[in-house]
Amino acid sequence: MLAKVKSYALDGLQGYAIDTEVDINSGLPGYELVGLASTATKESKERVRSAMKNSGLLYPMKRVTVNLAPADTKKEGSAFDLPIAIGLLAASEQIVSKKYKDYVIIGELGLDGRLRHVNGIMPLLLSALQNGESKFIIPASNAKEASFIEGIEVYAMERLRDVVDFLSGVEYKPVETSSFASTCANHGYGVDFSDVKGQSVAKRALEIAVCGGHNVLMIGPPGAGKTMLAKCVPTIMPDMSFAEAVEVTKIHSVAGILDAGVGIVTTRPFRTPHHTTTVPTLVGGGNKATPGEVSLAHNGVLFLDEMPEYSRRALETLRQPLEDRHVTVARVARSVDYPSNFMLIASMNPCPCGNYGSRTQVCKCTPSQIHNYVSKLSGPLLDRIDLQIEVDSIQYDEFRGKEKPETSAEVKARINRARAVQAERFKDDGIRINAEMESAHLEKYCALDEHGERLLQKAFDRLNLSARGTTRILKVARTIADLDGSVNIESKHVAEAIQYRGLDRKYNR
Amino acid sequence: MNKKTPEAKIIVALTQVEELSLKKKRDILSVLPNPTDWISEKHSKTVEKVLGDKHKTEFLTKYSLIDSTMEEMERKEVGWVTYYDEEYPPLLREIHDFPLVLYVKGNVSLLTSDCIAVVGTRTPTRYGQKVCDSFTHDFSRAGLTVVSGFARGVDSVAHKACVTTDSPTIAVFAAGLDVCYPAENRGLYESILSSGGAVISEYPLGTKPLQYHFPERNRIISGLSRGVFLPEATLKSGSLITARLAVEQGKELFVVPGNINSPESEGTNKLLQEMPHALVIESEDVLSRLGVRAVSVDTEVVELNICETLIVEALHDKELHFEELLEITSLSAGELSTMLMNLEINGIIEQTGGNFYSLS
Repeated sequence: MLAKVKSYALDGLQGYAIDTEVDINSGLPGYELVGLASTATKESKERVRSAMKNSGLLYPMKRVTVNLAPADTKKEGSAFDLPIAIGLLAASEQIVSKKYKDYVIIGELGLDGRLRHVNGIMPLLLSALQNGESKFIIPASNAKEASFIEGIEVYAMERLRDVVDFLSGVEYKPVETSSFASTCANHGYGVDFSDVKGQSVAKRALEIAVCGGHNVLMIGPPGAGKTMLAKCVPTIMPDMSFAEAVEVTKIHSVAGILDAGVGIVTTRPFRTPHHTTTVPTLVGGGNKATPGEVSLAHNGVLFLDEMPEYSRRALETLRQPLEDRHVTVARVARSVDYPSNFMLIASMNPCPCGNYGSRTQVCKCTPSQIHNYVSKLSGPLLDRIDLQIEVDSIQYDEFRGKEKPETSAEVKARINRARAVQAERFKDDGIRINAEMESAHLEKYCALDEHGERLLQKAFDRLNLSARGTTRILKVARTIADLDGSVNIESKHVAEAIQYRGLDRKYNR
Repeated sequence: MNKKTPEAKIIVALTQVEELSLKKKRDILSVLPNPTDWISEKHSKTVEKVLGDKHKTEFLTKYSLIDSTMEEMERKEVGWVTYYDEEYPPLLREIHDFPLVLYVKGNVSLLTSDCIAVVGTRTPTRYGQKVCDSFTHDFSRAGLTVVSGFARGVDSVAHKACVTTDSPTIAVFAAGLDVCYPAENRGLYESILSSGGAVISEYPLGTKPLQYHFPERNRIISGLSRGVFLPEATLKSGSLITARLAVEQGKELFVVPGNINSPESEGTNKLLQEMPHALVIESEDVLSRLGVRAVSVDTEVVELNICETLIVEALHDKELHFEELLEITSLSAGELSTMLMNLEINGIIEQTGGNFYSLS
C-alpha cells in the first residue's frame, strides 16, 4: 500500500515542498530510500525503526521503498524522520484515518520515540504558509518559534506516539500564538549606554553612526574600552520591528543558534567573529551554503575587533555585502541568497604595539611597521567606513562630572526622531538612511553653503585630509544636521563631521 | 650643470668607482690637480700609487663607459655638478674634504642659496617635533633653504614642514638618488621635488646606504649650510657628529635646550654645557645671528566667541582631554567637537594624540 506525507525542506531561507512517499510491497524485508538523500537523511532508517518499536508500533517486515520527491534535489538533515514514520504507519495501516494528508509534518526522531528539535522551523513554516499550507505538526521544542507566525494551526508534539494518537482522532491543543511585544519586554541587552563613563567623543560619534547607518572604525590602545562601546551600539539602535525580527530569526534558525526557549530574536544581533575567521564563516558557505557572520549580524552589528589582524581576503570579501546589503553564496550544487544589512563597527590599535601617538607610553614600532599595519585596510574598504574615531584609555574618576551619563533610551529617542526625518526625505528615492546616499542624492541633499565650502577647503589645506574623504564628510554632516533638526547643512555640522576623520588625521601628519 | 667637458667626464667617472674612500679622492686631487692628468699615460704610475691597482682599473673602465652613464643619468633626470661648475655650493667648496661631484635631482639653483641645516634624533618627542616644525617654518619663511638628511625623525619633520608650506628644501642622501632610504619616505621624496626642492648625494645611482656613508653625508649637510640647528639629539645621535663637524668647519651652531630628564635631549643639553653660546630659544635668535631678517607673518585675526575663548584660556598652560574641556565649557559633545575643529582649522589649537588638545 502507498502513503504520501507532506513535508518541507529548506534551500537557504526558502522552503519548498517535499512529498514523502512510502510504499510497502511484499518481498524480502528491506528498506530503500531514494531521492538524493544525504547521509544524515539516509540514516533515518535506523532512527525510524527504533522509534516505532519503542513507541509500541510495528515496523513492517516487508519490502519498504521511500521516495523523497522531487527526486533530483539533494535532501539534507534529519527532519524527514517523522514524515517517513507517519508514511510507514499509514502504509501499514496502523494509522487508518486520512487526517495526516492535511498536515505538513516535520521532525527528527530519537530512538526512544521523542521528537527532536529541527533547525529552520520559522523559514520552513513561512514558506509553506505562502504556498497555501496552514496545518503543521512539529516537534515540541520548536513550538515557541512557530508561535509567532499568525494564521496557522500548529501542533507541537513531544513523541511519535502523540502524533499517531492525534492523527487517529485524539484531541490535542494547537500552539497558542505569542505576542512579540511582550516577549521583547522580557528580554533586554544587559548593557546600557549609561554604563560607559566618559568617552563622550566616541559616544557622540556612535550616536551619529547609528542615526545615519554609517560604519565606524575605532582607533585606540588596548584596554581603552572599544569593545564595551561597540556592545552598547545595539542598545541605541531603533527597536526591531516584527518584520525585522522575523528576518533575523529566519537566519538564526537556519544556522541553529536560535534560543528555542524564546523562539524569536528580540534584540538586534551583535556578532564578533574572531580575527582568525575564514572567508566561508564570515560571508557564508560550506557545502551546505550556511549563512555567515555578515548574515547572522543582519539588522544588527558586526564587530571586527583588531581589524588589521583579519586576513586580507576575509576583509575584502566584506565589500560586497557592505555595498549590496545581501550576499549570494554560490556552491557547486546550489546558490543561496542571504540578507546582510548590518552596521560594521571595527576597532584597531594605532600600531602593532598599541602605543603610537600615546601621551604616556613609548611606541616601539618602526614607521614601516606602522605603515604596513595601517595599510592592511585597503582603500576600497575604508571608503565604506564613514566615521573614524580615536578612543583613548584614561582614568575617568578624575573627570567624572556631576551629571549621570545619558541612558540608551534617551539617545535612542533622538535617533528615532532623526531617522524619521531621513525616512521622510528619502521616501521617493528608494533608500532609507543617509549612509545609503549615492552621488545623485549627495548633490540633491548635501549642498553646502559658502561658509561650509570654505571651511572644508581650509580643513583640507590645514589638516592634510585626503580628498577621498569628501563624500563621507558630507554624508556624516547630513546626519549631524538631521540630529540637530536642521534642514540645511551648516558649517558647524561640517566642522563636526571633519572631527571624525581620525585615521586620515592621525597618519597623514 | 650636466657639463660634458673632458674634466667633468673624468671626475664623474672617478666618483662612479665603488667604495673609493674620501681620502683617495682628496689625495689624487692634491697630487694631480688637473683631472686630465689622471688618464694620461705619463701619470699612470702616480695614479696607480694613489688609487691602488684595483680602483685604478675600475676607474678606467668607468671612464670608458662614461658617455652611456651620463646619458642614463640624463634619462633619469639626475644631474651632476662638479666642483668646477658655478652651480657648486660656494660654502661647500671651503671645507677641506669637499665632494668632487654632487648628483642632483630637482631644483639645482638651491645649491647656491642661503642654507641652514636642521638635524637631530631619529625618535623625537612631541616637544622636539614641535620645536623642529615651528623653527623650520620660520627659517623657510625668512628665505633660508632648509637642509637635512632625509632620515627618520627630526630630518623628516623638517622636510615635511617645508613641503607643507611649498618651500624648497634640500635632502642630502647617504645613498644613490634612486635609492629611497628609509622606504616609508617615498611620498616625501616626491613632494620635496614637487615643492621646488632638491635631493642631492655624492654617491652614484644605485649606491646602497652603507653605514659609513652617514657621517660622510653629514659633512655635506653642515658644509652646505651657514649654520646647524639641533632641536633634539640623544647622546649617541649622529647629529652630534654633524654639530661637531659644523664647529670644525667654522659654522654657526644653534641648539635648543630640552628637559633634563628626557633621553632625547641628553645630547643637546650636553652640547649646551660645552658651548653655552649655541643656545637658542626662539627662531629670532637664529635668524639674527645669521643676519637674516625675520619675516613677520600676516596673522589672521579670528574672532572667538565666549566658549572658544574659554577653551583657549583653559589650554593656555597645559594639554587637556576632551572630557576635561566638556567639564569646563558645559557644552554637549557635538557642540564641543564643532568648536574644537573650528579652532584647529584656524590653527589656534591642535589635537595631540588621543583626544588631547593643546595650543599650537
